[in-house]
Amino acid sequence: MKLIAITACPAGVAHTHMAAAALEASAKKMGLKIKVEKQGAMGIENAIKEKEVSEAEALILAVDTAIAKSERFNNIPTVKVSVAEAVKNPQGLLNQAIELAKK
Amino acid sequence: MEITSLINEDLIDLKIDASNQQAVIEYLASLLENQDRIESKSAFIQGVMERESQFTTGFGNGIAIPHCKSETVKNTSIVIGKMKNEVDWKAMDDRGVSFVIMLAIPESEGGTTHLQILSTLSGKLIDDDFRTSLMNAAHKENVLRLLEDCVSKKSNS
Repeated sequence: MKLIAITACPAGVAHTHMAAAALEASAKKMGLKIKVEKQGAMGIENAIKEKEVSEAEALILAVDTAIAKSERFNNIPTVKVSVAEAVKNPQGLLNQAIELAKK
Repeated sequence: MEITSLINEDLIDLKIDASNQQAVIEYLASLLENQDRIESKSAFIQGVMERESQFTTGFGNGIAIPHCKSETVKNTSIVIGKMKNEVDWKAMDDRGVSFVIMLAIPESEGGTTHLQILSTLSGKLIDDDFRTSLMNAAHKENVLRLLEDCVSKKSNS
């Protein structure tokens, strides 16, 4: 299972990076591959590559603000939540994404 | 990366006597004001409280990370407080908060180095071991050393 995710919050410092770390840590525990792009105060970090978009089975958007280049993901099943949800319940969110990818 | 430009022992208080969230934020803001790191204490507090009203920064396990990105911030700063008693922070897990890491971020940060430090630190707070050591640190020097280690080592991802 290959997943991609984007995290973004208004200040682009605290929650963007907490959410990304939470998703990465949970994915590792669950044996999932995930690439998390952070859109924050320093611009786009750890950008998702074109190849990763094409291989992704689901996308998690944990965002509280408008994101850049969202048109890349038009055909990917997407779970959209607030950035706080990814900090609070990363495992649940990953499970949701897996369910969506299976459909 | 150097963390000493962002935080020092005078921006840490491990024995705060405050009964509520507002009092904690006001006290920590006064530490920033003492070091002339913010223009206006009231504007800074207002910014932090506005951010809290959007959604709590209490992300669970007794710790909160209030922050404000504002023109009133002169220097990127971290200020840390440990309370004698838990206070209500409307935290995600409904528990009280006894440890606060407050971030002050200028509206336009010149370099990305400081932001990188704050970002690395924020991400690291998800790590149970790091968070527990930080919250249990008995002395200010220990807090500084933990932060130093956290930003100097590339976080394992």
